[in-house]
Amino acid sequence: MAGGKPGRAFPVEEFLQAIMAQLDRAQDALAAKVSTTRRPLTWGLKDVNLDLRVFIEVNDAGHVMMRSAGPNEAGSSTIQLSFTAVTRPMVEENTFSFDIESDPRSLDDLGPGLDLDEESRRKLDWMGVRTVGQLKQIDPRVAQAAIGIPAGRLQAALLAATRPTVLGHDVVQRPDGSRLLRIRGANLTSGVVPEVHLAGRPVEVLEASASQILVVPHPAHDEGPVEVYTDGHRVTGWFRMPRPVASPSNGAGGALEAEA
Amino acid sequence: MSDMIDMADLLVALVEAVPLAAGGPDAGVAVDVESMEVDLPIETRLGDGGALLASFPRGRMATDFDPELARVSARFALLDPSRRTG
Repeated sequence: MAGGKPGRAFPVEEFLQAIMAQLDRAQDALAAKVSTTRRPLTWGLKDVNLDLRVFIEVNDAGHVMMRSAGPNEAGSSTIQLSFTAVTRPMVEENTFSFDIESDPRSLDDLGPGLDLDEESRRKLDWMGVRTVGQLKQIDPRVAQAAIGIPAGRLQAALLAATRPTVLGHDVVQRPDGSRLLRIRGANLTSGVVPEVHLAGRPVEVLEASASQILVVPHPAHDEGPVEVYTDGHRVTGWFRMPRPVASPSNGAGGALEAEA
Repeated sequence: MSDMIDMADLLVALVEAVPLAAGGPDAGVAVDVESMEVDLPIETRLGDGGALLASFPRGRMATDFDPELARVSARFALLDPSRRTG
């Protein structure tokens, strides 16, 4: 039945993501709909305003939840939402880009180094701090004064955030058939070229940035420990070089097996 | 009594409900719709994953204890697909 029972409550963020996805879907459906007029035009949704009757609740975890008003339920709140179509340049200008983010690791990647309770984590989330790169831009004293997160804990988190870390690797195939190994991580260099060992042997470093190091593995390298010596730290990981697969046509060269 | 549908489907249904052109060579004049604004009450409910479900009001089938109606207003425009920026 329309209207129906009140139903369960949803976090506001979840609702907003859902409604935006729905509006995107409506926009796509309208864009695919060629007008019945004499010109090759399609419909676009310029803007939408919604006045919704809901009950606002806060659950035990402190999340603001929304619930549909049910039959015979008085005292609902009216939420007014306005959505407008934005152009691609506006989206690109205002959308957080993981590509240019200096340290796109999730805060969870800091592990025990992030000694913050749930409430402090939630406050950071409200501030829009979701990545280690964003955390690094916070002044602990300002955060303590503004939202009450202990400065000492934030400083400890920031210290953990600046430690070098190896997160993964991938193999880069060059046009001449040779292969390079790209080591991905965080804080891998602060300007000085790091020293890298693969399976215990030093290798040539071609490029180094905070987030990745490009090295030349020895032909015999297949797998083993990665060691990066940088800024007085030694950080480790593990690498696997997939074996080249011989081409069935000529028995030479060919593609790589999938990355391990 | 109307069934709840996805809000996206309801918006598309609004466009489909309106005649978009009238007249033609036989009539000696033609009129095309270029944009459209709608503003109407709707019944809403939050569905799975927080998705908004909606339906047109029930009108004569409504009862005194129905939830208060929500409202949607939307502006649509005909666009040249080659010049879409979104």
